[in-house]
Amino acid sequence: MLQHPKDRRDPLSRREFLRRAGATGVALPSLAAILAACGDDGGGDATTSSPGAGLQLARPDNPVTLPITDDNPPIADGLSPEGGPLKIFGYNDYIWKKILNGFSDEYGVDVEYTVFDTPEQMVAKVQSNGADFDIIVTVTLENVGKLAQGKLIQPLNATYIPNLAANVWDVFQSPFYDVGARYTAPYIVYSTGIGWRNDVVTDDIAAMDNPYDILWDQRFAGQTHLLNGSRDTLAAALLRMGADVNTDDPAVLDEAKQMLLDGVQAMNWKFDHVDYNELGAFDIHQTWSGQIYYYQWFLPKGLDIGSFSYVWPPKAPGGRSGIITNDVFAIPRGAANPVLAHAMIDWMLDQRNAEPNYLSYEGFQPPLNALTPDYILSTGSVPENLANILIAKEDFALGVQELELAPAVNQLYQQIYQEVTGGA
Amino acid sequence: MPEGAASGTRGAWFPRWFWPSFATPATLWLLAFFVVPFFVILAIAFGRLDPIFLTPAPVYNPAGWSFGPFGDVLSQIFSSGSIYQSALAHTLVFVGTATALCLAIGYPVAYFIARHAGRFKTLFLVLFIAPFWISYMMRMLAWINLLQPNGYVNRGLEALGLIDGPVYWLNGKPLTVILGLTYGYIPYMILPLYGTLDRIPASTLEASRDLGAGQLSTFLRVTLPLSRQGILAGLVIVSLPMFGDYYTTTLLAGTRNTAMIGNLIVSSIQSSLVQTGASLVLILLLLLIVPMLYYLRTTERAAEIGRGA
Amino acid sequence: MSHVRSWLANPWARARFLWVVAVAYLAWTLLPVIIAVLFSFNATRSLTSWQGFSTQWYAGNVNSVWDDPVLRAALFQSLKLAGLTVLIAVPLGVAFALALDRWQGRGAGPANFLMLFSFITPEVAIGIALLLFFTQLAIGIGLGFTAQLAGLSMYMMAYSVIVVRARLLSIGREYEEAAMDLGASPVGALRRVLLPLLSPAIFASAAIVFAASLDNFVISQQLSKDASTQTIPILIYSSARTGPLPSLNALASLTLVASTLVIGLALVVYRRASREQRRPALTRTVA
Repeated sequence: MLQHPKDRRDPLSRREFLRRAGATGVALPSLAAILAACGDDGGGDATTSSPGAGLQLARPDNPVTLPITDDNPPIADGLSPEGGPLKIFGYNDYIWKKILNGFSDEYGVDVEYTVFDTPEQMVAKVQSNGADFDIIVTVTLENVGKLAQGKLIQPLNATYIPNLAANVWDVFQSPFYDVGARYTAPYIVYSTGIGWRNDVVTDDIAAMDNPYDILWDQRFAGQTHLLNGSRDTLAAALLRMGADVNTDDPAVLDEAKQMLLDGVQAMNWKFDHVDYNELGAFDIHQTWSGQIYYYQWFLPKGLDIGSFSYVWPPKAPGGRSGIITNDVFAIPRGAANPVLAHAMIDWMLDQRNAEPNYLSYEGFQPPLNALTPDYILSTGSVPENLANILIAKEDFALGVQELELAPAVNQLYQQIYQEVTGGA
Repeated sequence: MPEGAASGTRGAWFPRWFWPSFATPATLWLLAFFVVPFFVILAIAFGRLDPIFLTPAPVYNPAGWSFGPFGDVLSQIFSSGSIYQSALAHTLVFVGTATALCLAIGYPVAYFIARHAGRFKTLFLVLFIAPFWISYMMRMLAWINLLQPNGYVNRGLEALGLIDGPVYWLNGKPLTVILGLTYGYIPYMILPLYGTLDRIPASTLEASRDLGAGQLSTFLRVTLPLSRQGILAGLVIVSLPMFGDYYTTTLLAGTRNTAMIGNLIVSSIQSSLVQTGASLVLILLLLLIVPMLYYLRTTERAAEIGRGA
Repeated sequence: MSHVRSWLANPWARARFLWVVAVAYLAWTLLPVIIAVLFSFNATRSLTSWQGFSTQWYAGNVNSVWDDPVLRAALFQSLKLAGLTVLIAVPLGVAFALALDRWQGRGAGPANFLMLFSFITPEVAIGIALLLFFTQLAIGIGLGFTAQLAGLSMYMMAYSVIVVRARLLSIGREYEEAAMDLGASPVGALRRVLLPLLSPAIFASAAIVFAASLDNFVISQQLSKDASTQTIPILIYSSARTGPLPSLNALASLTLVASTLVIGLALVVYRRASREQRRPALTRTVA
């Protein structure tokens, strides 16, 4: 057999090479222990002061007035709209293209839409280059505090958004998470519940005591999806347990984590919110009230919107808690087109745009005084089997909201989320 | 040969710094956009966190580095049941299986082009290498469409009577991910294999047959050992990028039981677990340092031989 | 006919097995792509059932490549990024290859090591390192097209170095030395002898870098700032999971055509130039 000259030269080196590599492999676990000990010796703790110091956590019984500082002032009054293009940073397809085109035509500007998938991604992007965008569509309540207090978003100038005072529910003129509506204006209100294919799933989930149990029901393993985003995923477990969705109790979180880990092994959940795009692939989906309305435009052949049902657990016999909340527009600090961004917010709070955006496309209900549940039903746009996606002001008393967490707790939620989903 | 034309005195025509200076722009580019970014990774993995947001606060002075958080991530990898260990295990299994499949399929194909394609050799070579310049994303997109519940794969299998109802190929099946990885990276296996197999002179194989060896014997005792270099090169070239893959598994599966290390790295960076992400990058590099160095050594040796030849 | 007969009579029955394997492999590799291209001409938005022929997804439908500004922008961004990457990576790479080939000193080893290291490091590690670099350290540049160009051209240099170096090894020194013996200056020999000899390899590496950049995903995605720096692979990746339309297939088919043309052109140029060089072209260039 031909032997290459180089093999004859140093026959030991390759063996030596691999031996040293093997030694490294053996040493690694002990290396890990040593390194972990290095950290605990006070040689360098990761954080230098108690986490959460300075970050106010808004709660319904603890309203927070977000500070306005000199180095992050709102824009001046009376400015004229910029030339654009308006750069929107938002969830996929979250504003109807027709409404965007209308805005485009009205102000003579182009609109660019960059998509993010989860609230975490949005925060990470805003932290790295928020000023590249003009408006965020949308921020969920658990991130409002950190974005405002971290000076990543700018205070709004209400003179550019008259529709907020004129059209929107009273509660949003000065919500507890943003007293005085300094930084935010609401986009839509929604509930988080469970959607399912009523032609495939014969159980009447709406009549269950604890509808959340169905998400763990192994008869539907491989056919059940949960929402992505650390808060919504953990909420499924926390609400099933009857615990607080904003808990910081490590024991409770551990139990939730274990419940989710057991669930993901048994159920092989997929975590996404593009349910509308895979309507044939799941039977049960943890979903939002507007989302299931949106399915209509993506029905595959042979499937009818009548095949889908929704339940919001507080309205089920067991009276389990459920998420009911709103999300908000915000304008990043340093945005290039802030006046246009304000105009966009005002545009979306105008009933002439909000109503078609809602009923002809998105399915997510804007909190406008004129759009009462009776009125909405009278338009005949909402399929009968989905009448329970409508939100009334009184419903807020039945549910809970996902709110700001202390940074260390927030990190814990995200670590649990990563454990459960594997970054998929 | 005229004076001064011998290679030893060629330096007399150029100053010492002439040729090395040609390397300067590229080296600067590499320093700025390869070396320094990896130093930033070290500075973040061994650095601190902002107290309010827990965002990374990189520490650029090695004297100030703390290894606690890195050690935590490392120990997570060794704690059974953690996602870090699962992801690592998945990665090793997927990459190992896919690489083996690439070899199993790629070797006969490369052998075919090298030895049996005859007049069509160039045509076949072009066709077989085509996936190289067909966008990876497009090839994956093609499979996503085919693997839909009502796509052609299910329809074909049902028509053949191999399955009863639609199979959800895209719902977290390790098989789909492995086949996807194989499909995506197999051209990288064929090229070096072809190169080595092509270089085996036909006379060597004829000699072996003349000496009485049968087909199988010739293959096992002559062809296979001679192609060893190509096999190793192919294995490394195919497996190294696969280790960092995250997009194939997200596109074709997207569940926890198919999560790879790349998924954890990217999702860590995109949530507020940036320090964990940086640590995972370092761990990935540590894992691959041996095969990488081995490949570099053998490539350099091969280049030296080529230069001396 | 005699060829077929001898083929059938071939005692190496394995050849038939290999033919089957090869053809099956070819089908497995290329059929999905062919089907994807076909579906870009589908009359409806379905990607799983053929409804008839239409070019609407190329132009005509509001979501087509021509009419949808997002798709057009991605196409333009991809071509721009790939083109400029070639303009940076190839000259840097060729110069580096020349240096490596001629370097007498001890710096050659480490420099070459660094270059090869950049080639075999998993792209996700490089992508994340660059992302953190541009968001934590080089904040003045930040994410965006400049970052994408810088990172991608760094990553692509190695392709150029490898191709050109291989060619340099086979060219050897004789032509330049002969030129200088005949009175050419060192720089003249470089310009008029070596570079023309190298040009097919330079062109080939440019084609490879172009096709590879067009296809690049990880580095481009990590360094992208918003929709304006979105390239085609990024668009395909994000759309494949949230509602792909045949216009996406159309976009991918267009890049397929672009890459094939570029590679094909490079192949033709390479073969023509190599064939020329097998003849004694030396007398023509130096005389």
